[in-house]
Amino acid sequence: MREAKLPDLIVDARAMLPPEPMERTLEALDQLQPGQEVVLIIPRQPVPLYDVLRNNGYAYRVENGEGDNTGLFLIHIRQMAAPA
Amino acid sequence: MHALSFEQAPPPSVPLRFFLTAPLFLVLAGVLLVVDGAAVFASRWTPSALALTHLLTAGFMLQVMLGALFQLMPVAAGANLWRPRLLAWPVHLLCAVGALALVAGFHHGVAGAYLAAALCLGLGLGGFVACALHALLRSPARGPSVVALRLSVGGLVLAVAAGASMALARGGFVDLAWLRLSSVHVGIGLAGWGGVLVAGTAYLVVPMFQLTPAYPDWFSRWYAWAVLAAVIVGAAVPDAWAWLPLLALIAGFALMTLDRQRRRRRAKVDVTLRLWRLAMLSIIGACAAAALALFGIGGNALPLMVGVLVLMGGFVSVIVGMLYKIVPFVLWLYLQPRVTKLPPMTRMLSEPLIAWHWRAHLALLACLLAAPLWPPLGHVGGGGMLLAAGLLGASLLRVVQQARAALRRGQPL
Repeated sequence: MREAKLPDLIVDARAMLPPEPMERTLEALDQLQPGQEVVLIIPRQPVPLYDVLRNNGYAYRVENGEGDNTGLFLIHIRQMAAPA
Repeated sequence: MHALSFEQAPPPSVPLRFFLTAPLFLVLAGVLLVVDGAAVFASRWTPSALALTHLLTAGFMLQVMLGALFQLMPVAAGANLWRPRLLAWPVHLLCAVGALALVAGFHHGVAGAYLAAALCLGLGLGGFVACALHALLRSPARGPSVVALRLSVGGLVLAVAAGASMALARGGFVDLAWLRLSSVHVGIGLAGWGGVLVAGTAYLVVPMFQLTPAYPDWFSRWYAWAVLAAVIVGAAVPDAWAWLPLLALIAGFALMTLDRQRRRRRAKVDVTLRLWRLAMLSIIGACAAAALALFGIGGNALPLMVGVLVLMGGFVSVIVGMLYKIVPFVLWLYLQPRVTKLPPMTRMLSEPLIAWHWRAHLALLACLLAAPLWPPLGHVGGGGMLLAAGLLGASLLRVVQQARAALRRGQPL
């Protein structure tokens, strides 16, 4: 039987000052399980975080928020698949 | 929202040498006020008043602004300075020595000091500006902050050229007619260089560190150009009213920033927000007072109050507010990939020290604002300035010590 997907770890950084969004995201990444995602909700592109993610083997996808989340960025982060 | 890329940031020693030198000029300003406080507030043209003004502008403000440009140009504008580590030390040394020589020239009337100041500041800033403009013009970035940085560096060149001509005239090396440039020097130096640089920086750091909405596009796109046009009108038209558009624009920036802060997403008020709010209110007050002073209303005291509001209330408040964010942030970013279990950035600052600094800054500002009406208060203001400068220096040094300790403790084996 297929294992149920673990819920995503949400970091809501809408009211956080730099560098707290990065601090909280890195803490969440330490707890990340295979197949799980960290979703960072933030009102600006966290460019310094992208540098850290790329250098530490994480993949990320940027989604523009819609509806209540208009003007926000949702950054979906997961571990990069190991090379075959 | 404009994005920042920190992969291009210079090593922290480059901006920090400027940021940590700057409070020493405030200490000197405090000493000058303690000794000469009454003379400073007798008239804006006394040797002591000119010396104090330039300890704040060519000393404190220039140091922080240069450090900020070394940090911001590559990070915010994609403009990589030529070998920043090599460039930083002569620029830092020449500008610090040049500012001291200029102040000595004003205070003691020594001709050689004016010449030394013109040479040191001319060489240091000439070298920096050449590298900065080369990097800024080659940068592919096109955002409003890049435009503001380019125009402000152009403003620096003109302000320093006018200032150097006047310094040489005071030293007896060139014709005294150059002293007529003083309004142009003040207008370009404070608005074209300082004001536009603060605005270009604010577009990035106010939304980022105060969690406000971004400045409107129409505003950030046109503001620096409008200031340029207003400075040209002020300099070209020999009439007091010609400076009014510039004053209106400066007050407009302050009002826009207050409006951004009113719409911030976070209820908590920290010292940076307080200092920026104080700065914007001071700038609005300064513009109103300057408009009266332009037409000779308010006698000798009003121009001095404008100076206090602009320099201490405006620029020093904004700069101190940003130093409390940028110094820990620059060090945190440097430590982050190098140290395991890095403590939160907020713990690098001492909240009680900063709270005392805020109180000392307010008391100092109140004291200096009253001093034009009763000049002996200038001596008391000197004590306040020494206290505020000491608290700022101690807070920043604590951040550096915390970063060093984290580096020692947390380096992976």
